[in-house]
Amino acid sequence: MTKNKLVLPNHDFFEEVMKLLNQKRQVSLMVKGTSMKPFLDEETEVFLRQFDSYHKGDICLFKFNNKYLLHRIKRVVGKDYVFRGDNTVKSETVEFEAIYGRVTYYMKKAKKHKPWNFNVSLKLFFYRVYLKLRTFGKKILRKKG
Amino acid sequence: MKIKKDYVIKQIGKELVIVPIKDEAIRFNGIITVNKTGAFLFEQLQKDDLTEEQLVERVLDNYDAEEKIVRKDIFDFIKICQEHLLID
Repeated sequence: MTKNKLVLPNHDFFEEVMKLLNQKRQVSLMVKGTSMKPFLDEETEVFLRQFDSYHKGDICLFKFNNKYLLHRIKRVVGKDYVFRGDNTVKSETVEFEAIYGRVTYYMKKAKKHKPWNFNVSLKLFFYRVYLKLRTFGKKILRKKG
Repeated sequence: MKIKKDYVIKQIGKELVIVPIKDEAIRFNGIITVNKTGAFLFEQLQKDDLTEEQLVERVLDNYDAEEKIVRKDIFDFIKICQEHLLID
């Protein structure tokens, strides 16, 4: 049996996801893109649920500038939630209403993973250092070139 | 035969899709697309435990179609459902 990929219109798809999350249902979907590497990639299935509050380290599905994003909360400042992809440098700030739900766990290579714990925070810290060094290295190479 | 309780049908935009429910989650991984007739067959088998013959009757009652074509389409539909373990 072959597996074909069905690409649904983003808006219609996320409208349905949002509807189900609002009904307190758990929804799973496949990740698209690389902004959450090394933790989430296109082989990852994330399980989402709606909660009454969200905290630093949570991976959430939210709407920003008409785009649906799945990024991690970097910090919470008053009513504002500042998100950033683990593999990106830009951050996005949204209010609570723009957040649809949080990843409760994810499946990668048939293994179940927690989105946030001590090991994740440690790995993320070193990955961020690596990203900074890589950017710095590229700048130097560009200057020399 | 009857469709397992672990599946629901949803309309997303223009697409009619059969979505599996596993581990209490509605999973948009492993969805199957169907056309309007496929959705009708799915709904009939979701509501009632039917034989292939009864399914043919229901389609002929609701659609203006040739029996020979209906039988073939239902046979193909059931085969796909069996392959995907959709029916009990």
